[in-house]
Amino acid sequence: MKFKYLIILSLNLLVACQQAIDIDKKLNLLPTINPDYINVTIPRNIAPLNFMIKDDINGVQVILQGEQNQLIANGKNDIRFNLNKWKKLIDKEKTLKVTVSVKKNNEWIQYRSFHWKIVEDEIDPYLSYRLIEPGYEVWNKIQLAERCIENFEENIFADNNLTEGSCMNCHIYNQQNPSQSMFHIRGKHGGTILNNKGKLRKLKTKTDKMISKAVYGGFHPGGRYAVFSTNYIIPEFHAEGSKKLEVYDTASDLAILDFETNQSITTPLLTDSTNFDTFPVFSADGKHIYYCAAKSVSVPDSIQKLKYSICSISFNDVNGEVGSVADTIWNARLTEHSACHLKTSPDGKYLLFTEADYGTFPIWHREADLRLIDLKTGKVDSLKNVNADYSDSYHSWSSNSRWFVFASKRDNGIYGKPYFCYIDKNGKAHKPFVLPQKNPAFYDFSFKSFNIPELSIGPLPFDAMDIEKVYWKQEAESFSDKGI
Amino acid sequence: MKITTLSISNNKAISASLFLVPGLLIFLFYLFAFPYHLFLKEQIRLFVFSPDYLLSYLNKPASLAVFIGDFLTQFFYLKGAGSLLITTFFYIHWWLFYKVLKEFFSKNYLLLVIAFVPALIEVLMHYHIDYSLANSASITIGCLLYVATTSIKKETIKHFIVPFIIIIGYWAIGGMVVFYIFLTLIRSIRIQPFKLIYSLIHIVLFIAIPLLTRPYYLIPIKEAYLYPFNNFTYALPLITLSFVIVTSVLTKKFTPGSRFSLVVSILVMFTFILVDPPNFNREKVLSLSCEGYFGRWDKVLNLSSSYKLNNKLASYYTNIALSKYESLPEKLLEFYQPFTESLFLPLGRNSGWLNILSSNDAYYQIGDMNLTQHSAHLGLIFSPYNRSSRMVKRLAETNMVIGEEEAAMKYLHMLEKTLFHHKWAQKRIDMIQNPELLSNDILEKQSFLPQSDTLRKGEDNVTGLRLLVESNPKNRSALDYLLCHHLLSKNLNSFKTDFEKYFRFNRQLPRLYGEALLIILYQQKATKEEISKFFIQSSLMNEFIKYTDEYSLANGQRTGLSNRFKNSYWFYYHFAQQRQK
Repeated sequence: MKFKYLIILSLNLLVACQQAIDIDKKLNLLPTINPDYINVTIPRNIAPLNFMIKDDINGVQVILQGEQNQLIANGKNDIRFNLNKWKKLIDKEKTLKVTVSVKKNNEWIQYRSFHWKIVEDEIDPYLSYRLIEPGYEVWNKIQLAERCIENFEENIFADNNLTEGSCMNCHIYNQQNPSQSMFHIRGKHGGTILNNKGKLRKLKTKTDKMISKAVYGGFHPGGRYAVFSTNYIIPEFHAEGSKKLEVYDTASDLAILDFETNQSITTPLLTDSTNFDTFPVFSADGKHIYYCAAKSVSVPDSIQKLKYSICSISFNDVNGEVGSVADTIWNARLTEHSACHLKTSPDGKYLLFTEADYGTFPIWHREADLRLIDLKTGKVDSLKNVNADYSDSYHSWSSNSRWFVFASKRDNGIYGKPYFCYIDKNGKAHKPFVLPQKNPAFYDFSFKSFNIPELSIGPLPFDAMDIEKVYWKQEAESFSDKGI
Repeated sequence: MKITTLSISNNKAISASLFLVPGLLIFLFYLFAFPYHLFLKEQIRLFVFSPDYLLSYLNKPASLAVFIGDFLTQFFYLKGAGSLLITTFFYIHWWLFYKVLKEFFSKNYLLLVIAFVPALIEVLMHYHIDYSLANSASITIGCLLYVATTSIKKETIKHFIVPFIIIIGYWAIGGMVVFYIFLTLIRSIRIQPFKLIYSLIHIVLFIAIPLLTRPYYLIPIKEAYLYPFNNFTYALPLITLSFVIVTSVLTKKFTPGSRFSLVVSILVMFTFILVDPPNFNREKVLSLSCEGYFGRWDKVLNLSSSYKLNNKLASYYTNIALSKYESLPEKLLEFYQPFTESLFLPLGRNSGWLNILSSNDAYYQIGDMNLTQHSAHLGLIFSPYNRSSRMVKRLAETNMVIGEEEAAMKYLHMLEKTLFHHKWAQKRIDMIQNPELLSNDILEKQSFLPQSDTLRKGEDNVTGLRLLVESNPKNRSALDYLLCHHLLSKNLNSFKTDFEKYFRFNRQLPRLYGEALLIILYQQKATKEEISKFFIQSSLMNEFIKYTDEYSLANGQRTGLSNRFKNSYWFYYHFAQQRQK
């Protein structure tokens, strides 16, 4: 047995010796790598963090040094780690020291090393997102995709090329479980597509009491209900070039849909025309609904005064009744900012949301940042480690509540990319990193924005052809108002 | 002996001429009569030398044909290169069609004539804006596969190999593989004994492969069978060729003596030309669009003056050119003006991709960078291949103007990896890295950026224009667009309000504005003092009096008015009517 290890060690040394380079110069500077993976925290089950050097070089070598093993990779101007070797390496290590050397003007220059911290808490292995060009009012091609983040496999599970070019909205899971999920398809044969263990239903969610079809929402953990906002949505353009588009509501209410009885539940409190209520989600235990609420103002003239607070209201999943009193969790009047996109962590400890200067459409708001509320203490973490100059929004938790993913435009202000962030047991957020790609230059040559990234524990049980069939051939089920 | 040599060399000269003349004519036609269609075809594509980008060709059937087509279309950027490529494809197809026909007919000079007809029809297809070199390449590859198959001597090997060619063929040329199957089927009928089973396998394969690969390519059923052709009529060259072959097999006349086929195929060609002739009007419109894109706005004006087109897009580019030379109000009514749509093209899913592609140019001219960017994104999204070098350039420029350097660099790095736009990109990268190198165009547009923010609907151009003029009173383009917008929509109250608010008399009062003001002042029964505030020339006032006299005499009928008033705003105000859509 010892002899076997000796042979392996010798072979490793041999390989290492073959790949060793003579360093001509050492710099006390960190290398400029793209994507920025310097000193990030990563889960053990992530795909290789391939990266490139954005400089005019003739070669690059990277040494990943762990406590027990090392991995050496070479490239011309980018580094692509072998998937199997990568898995073997990070499976056993807690920290990797990353040393980058580049060949420039015929001399090898070594940069200061940085580290990748590998944590035991795994991230949910699947990520769904919408791929869309940032046309910001009119769309043409839309795809909903699912990526296994343990490798580089991507699967398109809905494509509007197969559904008359109809718009497709957010795809969301119930508690990150792929056996229940949904998204909306607009258009003549569209509806809300509800996936229940692979059985697909098409729902016509608009009822007489609702001001529109279901828009933003989330599942009740039990799976029987989902809470939605119903909105009159108006898109308008800013004059200022970098802000681009504002989308606001002229009316918005909340409704709870019962998927067993095909009924819509509304209450006067949540359909008050003097209030705008939107972005509802259930709490992790299903006993509360969190949502964003604002006093209605004259829009668009007073749009900058439109600031949403975070409220909560009780919900009884036995009889489907909504409470009569709403509590304010985060007060917009005190912060003079506006909250949107609420997501409760599956362990019930946190509420993650986006804070912007005003309104409910932060994706073109440069100042839009993520915030984390500790639901026990009410303390708000400004997530300074996480946020960047451009919009950070549309987030989703991993099922273990240790990771979340969000869409960030930090790299160029136009194209959103999924970034992953680790929250340790003390609630501290670590520096996020972008979804790795096989070709590290992938994002540079892509015209697509990654919208609404959502994590899940497994692959979806349907595909794009199933969605085509449902769109064209399946009758939509109607909903009625409860008690009517 | 001498006479014989002379006659042989004469025959050779005649044959060479007969062979070369069609090619020369095709080359000259696309070089001089239809160059702008070819320029536009390059502008609505983007061929980036990047591994992921190249791999994306595998996401659709006909990967090889589309790859070759897109690679070659880059060269359309160079004047003459497009004509040369189309001519080259013509000769390749002529030769290949001849080779295919030789399989079915005994060798005869008439075969060359028969093969010439579908080859020429294929050439004519290129005058369609959405017919691409990928289509030509798929025809070429389809024929080459067939010729290669027939060169295999042993029939058993052939039977074994054809299914593989069909599978690979679908990947390489998409729905065009049906032509290959058709040829092998007809050939197997021609060559006895006919093995039905093999032909059935081939047909089943053709039906099955697009259906089986659809979950991978994610395309609708019709597209799965047609791709890369997006229009059934584009298969006309092959239908013609197939017709000739089928009639020969049905009539069992395997000699070119079946002149019936020849006559019919020539008739098809002429019918095609008559039913679907080259759209020279569109070529003219595209000449204005492309010359504007090349920055030759003087040429746009010259061409437009000579064309006198009643076309919205032509007027749109003419107006931009007029604005470039600060003569929009002076010459606006010398050209066809379909109300405000000649100033800003309506944007929407049903606007048509050519309008969407062009819509950013006016916004860029007046300095509305947000709508420029929005329109350019839409141009990119709605262009037939969702990749457009022209739109990527505009996006880069726009982001340079608004100071979003990272976004600009994304587009510039992409263009850096192209064959013909890398120098353009490199120059802009240098500008970003050394701001003192920034071009006057970018600097001017930066000075136009609004100092405050507002919200407006996409179609509400007036609000955007007012904000631009308020932010920078020197933005003459925005001011003229604003005032002309009011005039073309016959909104004289808004015209007067904005004229009084924004117009400065440090420039001569344009005749158009004077004419409009006279109508307003006349309607308001203004006093001499009130009129004098506007510095309207007395000669113009006299003309207005003459016009009103003539108008009264003519009882409000346009036929009774002198021609000299045809380009006046008074005439437009009285008689211009929006066409019912």
